[in-house]
Amino acid sequence: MNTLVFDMLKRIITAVTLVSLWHGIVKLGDIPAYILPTPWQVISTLYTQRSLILWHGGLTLSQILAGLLISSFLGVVTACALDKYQRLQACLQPLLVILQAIPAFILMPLLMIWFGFGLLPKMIVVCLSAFFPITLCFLDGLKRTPVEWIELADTMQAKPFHLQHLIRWPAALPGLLSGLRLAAIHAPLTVLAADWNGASHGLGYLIMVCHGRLQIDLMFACLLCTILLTLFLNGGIRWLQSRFIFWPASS
Amino acid sequence: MTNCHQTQYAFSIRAVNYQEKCVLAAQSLSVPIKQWTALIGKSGQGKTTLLKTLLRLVPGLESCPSDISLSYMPQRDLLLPWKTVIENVILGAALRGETPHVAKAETLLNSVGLGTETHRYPHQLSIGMRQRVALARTLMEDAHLILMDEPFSAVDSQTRQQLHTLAKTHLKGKTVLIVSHDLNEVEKLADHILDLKGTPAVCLPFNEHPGVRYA
Repeated sequence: MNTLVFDMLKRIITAVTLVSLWHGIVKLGDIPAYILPTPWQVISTLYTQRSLILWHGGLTLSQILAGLLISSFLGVVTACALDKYQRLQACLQPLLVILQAIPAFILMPLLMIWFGFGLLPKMIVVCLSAFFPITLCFLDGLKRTPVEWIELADTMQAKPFHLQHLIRWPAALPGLLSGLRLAAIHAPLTVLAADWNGASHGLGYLIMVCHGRLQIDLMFACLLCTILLTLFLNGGIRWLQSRFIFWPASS
Repeated sequence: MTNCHQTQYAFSIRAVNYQEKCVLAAQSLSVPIKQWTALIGKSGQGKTTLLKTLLRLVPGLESCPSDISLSYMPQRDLLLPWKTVIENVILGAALRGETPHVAKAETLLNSVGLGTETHRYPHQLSIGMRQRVALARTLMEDAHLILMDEPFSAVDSQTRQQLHTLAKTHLKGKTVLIVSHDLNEVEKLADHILDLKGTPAVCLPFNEHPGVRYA
């Protein structure tokens, strides 16, 4: 408990130091607000423009969440299929490698031609970027199911489906969640980059608008929100991990 | 029980290869019914492979008694960490898609002294307790022949004594084939001893020469 308070204190000290440094640079260097606003200006803009930021941030967050959810589902189904049909793996391997190799947001202009400026193209982009880590991590988890468990199940005359959902899927759950965690790291990057490729909403779009109008304080507020959004995603996945994987990794 | 007219289960196996090397010679193996047979031999001699052949986990089983059911108690307890003690005990029925006998599982857990631990998770138990859960899971299968692969080797000697007593009581009148490298354990538990030796290995009746003991 004591160390916890101590750690917290250290973090607060770091944050306060950084913010003071920032404030000091602006004041001492006499930097105009359109180049670097003070922390206080950013906070007050965050408050006055809260509905605008919330609207765009909310859209971005919901696109990320929807994209992650859909690609989790598709990834799990694909991984199960790849696990069951080895030949399929040989066919789909190149496609998966391509998906991993290219940044998904470069497809954004194409997707906008096909699906317009709405929510859909960005959701698809998040799906594409999240699909690879989720599929591969879950597949890896399935393959790494300890062979002794499968042998034990064999000696018990396990039915194939029951073997899957009682032993192999739970055994692969940690893999799925680490895949989801990777995907959640990439997702904000993908969405924001997609926003810059041309969009009519979203945090990335708002940042570009601020850029055009030299509203640096609002831009900082958006950046702050982006940080909060990634922290929220990361925390969410950590929560899922601690909620669903309650056993120690060694067993 | 089927095969009640017999006094022993007879198995025959083909030669078994492991990594392109013949580890087990073609042979027949008989296990007296309602008695404990121990299988001893040096480490790496092929004891586990022989058990796995009988369990059809390794190809090579040529013939076996018809309608005989086998139950396997491996060296590690292999409890599923995401399932509670009681769920682990009824795992076999769940895997076969049958309705599990929860009451029977509770009785079994009671008799191995874990009646109060049924809803705890394996990682909350000691190694000895986990091994007792594995014993209950094995007994739950109600198999004709129980194959045990050094089930008491991972625990300290005091716990091992307790587990021996427990196993002996619960498996009284059952047909057991137990693999071990501990001759003291085997002499205490088993009615018959088979010795697996040679390359490729063959099971022979054990006759102890003075001074020849397995570590």
